Amino acid sequence: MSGGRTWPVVVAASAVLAVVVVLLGAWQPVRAGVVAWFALAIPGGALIPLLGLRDGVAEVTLAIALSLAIDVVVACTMLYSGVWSPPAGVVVLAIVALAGAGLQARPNALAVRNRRATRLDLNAASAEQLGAVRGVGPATAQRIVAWRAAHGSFRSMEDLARVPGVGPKRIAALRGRVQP
Amino acid sequence: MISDPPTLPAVLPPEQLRREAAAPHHLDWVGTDFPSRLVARGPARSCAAAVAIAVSVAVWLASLSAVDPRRMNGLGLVSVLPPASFAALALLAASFCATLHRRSPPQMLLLAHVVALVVMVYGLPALVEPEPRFAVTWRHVGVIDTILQTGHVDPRIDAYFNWPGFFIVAAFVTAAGGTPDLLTVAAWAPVAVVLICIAPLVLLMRTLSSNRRVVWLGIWVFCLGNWVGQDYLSPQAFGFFFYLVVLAIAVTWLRATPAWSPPWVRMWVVPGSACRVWGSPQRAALVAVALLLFAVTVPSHQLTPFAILPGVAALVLAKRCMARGLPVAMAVMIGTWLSYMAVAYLAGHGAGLASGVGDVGTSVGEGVADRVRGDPDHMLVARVRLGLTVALWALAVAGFVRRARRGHDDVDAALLLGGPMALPLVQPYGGEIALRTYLFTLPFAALFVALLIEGAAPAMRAWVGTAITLALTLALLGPFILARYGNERMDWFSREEVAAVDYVYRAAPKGSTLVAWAPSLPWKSRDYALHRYRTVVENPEWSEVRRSTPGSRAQVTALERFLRSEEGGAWFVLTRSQKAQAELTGMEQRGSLDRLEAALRAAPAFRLRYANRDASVFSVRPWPEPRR
Repeated sequence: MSGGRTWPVVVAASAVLAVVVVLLGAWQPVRAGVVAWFALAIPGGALIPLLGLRDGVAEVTLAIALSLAIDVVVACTMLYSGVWSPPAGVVVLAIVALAGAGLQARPNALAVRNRRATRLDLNAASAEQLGAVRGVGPATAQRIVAWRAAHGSFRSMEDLARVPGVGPKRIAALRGRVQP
Repeated sequence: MISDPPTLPAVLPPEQLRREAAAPHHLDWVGTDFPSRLVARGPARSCAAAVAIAVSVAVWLASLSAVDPRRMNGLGLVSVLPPASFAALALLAASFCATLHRRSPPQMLLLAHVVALVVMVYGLPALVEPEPRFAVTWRHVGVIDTILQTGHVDPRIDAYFNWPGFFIVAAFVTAAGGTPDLLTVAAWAPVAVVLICIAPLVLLMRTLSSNRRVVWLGIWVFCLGNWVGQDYLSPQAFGFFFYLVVLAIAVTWLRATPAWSPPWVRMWVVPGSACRVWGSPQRAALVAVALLLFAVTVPSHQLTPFAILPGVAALVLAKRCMARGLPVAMAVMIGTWLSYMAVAYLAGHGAGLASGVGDVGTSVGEGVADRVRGDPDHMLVARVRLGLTVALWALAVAGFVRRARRGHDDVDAALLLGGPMALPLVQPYGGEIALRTYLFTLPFAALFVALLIEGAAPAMRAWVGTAITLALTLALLGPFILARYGNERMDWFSREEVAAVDYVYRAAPKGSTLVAWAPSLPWKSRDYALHRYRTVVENPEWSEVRRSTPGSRAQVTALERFLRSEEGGAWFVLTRSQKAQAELTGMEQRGSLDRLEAALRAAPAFRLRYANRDASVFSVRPWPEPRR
């Protein structure tokens, strides 16, 4: 989700489509389907990628949860303030989604800083943490930790090549995710 | 934190290092650099698994076409499923277990098995029954309908309107979506709820164990242990999702470096090893998200916040979670809602915070421990439920003990398993609290069951692992379906029963009193606040009706007297599902409601207004005029 170029477009398109379908009306099953997708995924899906988590499962989970939470906030605010209007609620949600999509398209300082900060320290990470990095399975993680225990610390990314089973391709893939 | 296999071999005993060096295949169970022979076999095995999934779903659907819910006995749906249905489930289970024990189990394929299991088993009632199950589902549809009709929430109606967050958002989405038929949505709600919960379950389990097999076996066991049926269109299903997500945030991103660990763990942990470096703006944002999610559960469901709070508080007290303010903020939110918004309800109900909602007639209602009486089949179902619950908890404890003895740090998962056990202390919640507690502990119990099997023996041969997990699956599957759908005879509704209730709504003037014998009938889905609803069994003042001989003149007279005392005219609805409920749960003798029905048809004081093979609707003299 984060880092992709298509996702902000999907978010913006879903928001616009939802508003159109609700305000102008549409064949009921289509309208229900569009609104369900929009309410379940889009408001949160517009905001969560800004965190720069770089983890698909986490982003999907948090996007659904945050979407539902924002839906609840908007719906309850409308109801308790006495202006119950579902179409207006959809417009508010769409504005949130479009704002998030805009911020995603122009990555702000927060996401950039985090990308650097989330690099894992090769010399301090546990096997479990290394195993969670994309491109490193638990087996490789074990071998990295075992190599570190036997030979001391990694001084450069190239030192990784000395770990059995890690080749130049894997090292290239891991740049940006781990650092010595 | 659970690490699998144990972290930091630098301080592992030398003999273990030697053992792992001598047997490298122990290590690359999920490695990416396996011999080319396996690469060649991988796609073929994946195709075989995909075919197995497709075949099991097809056989399942075909086998269900002949299922007639009317033939069910006291064991519920299990009694009408043909052998082919069980064969389909067994095939799916075998394929899952074999896939799980491939050298490099493809996660999408494991996910496909879980999705197939959920659609098959959780979608079973929607496939074989004509109408949504559970009287309480219809009631929830009625609450949403009331908000849709009126556009506001009157807290004086009942407890639902004091914790209305879920209903308000459901009304909002329904209205925005052009008011689709909520009953169709409700029939498939369990499938949707469990599928959505898979995402946070993967996140939680993946954080608590780095072993992919443990993660997917844990989710599989969760799906096979979740017999409590709290996944219908309901605030608690909504809340359960948030429960999982908030806990996942706490253990995944708000983890502190373990300052305290049990002594057997401390030996292995090197200071400073927790080094996922997080920028503080990001962490602050995640704390804000967790608080927002919690803030949304507070007005949505009475019980869920009380399940989240002890889990997070335990993590903070054990110094496993760095967001120390989180439990305090959560407690403040709960207190605020109770003292400002739910005060209308609390004023009338005092300390019994939730006594009004969800005890009698709720889903699988009378649950684990209480009320083991009634029909012998029903008693068997109750015992199987108890057995399944105790067995999973016992396996989880065994998993924890075995892992702890091998030096694994499973403290986070253990704290989260233990957290909801505090629920019965803080929330008196009818007789259902054991059920709800079981559900909240289930993800972590399932994780420990998976750790017991997979986590303790990474060197297990593939076929041994397949055999053990398959045996576990098959051992859980039968009891699970029996436990989950054991009360189905009273939980399902026929078209005729729905037609009778529809008749009442068409005919009864606003403000009438609608009366049933027992709470299991498909009513309250509309005109929720426009009528009064009463049942004979839930009304202590009417106990004389239940004490009289079934079908006797005395019983008919007593019923007539009570009905006539109701304002607005009373309509009495008697349905097949109520008879099933009365018999199954031992409220009444078998056939006693049939005798009452026959006597009412003959009684001059009662007039039969509507009848079909599953239901009768009576009114009592003076005849209330129909609306039309």
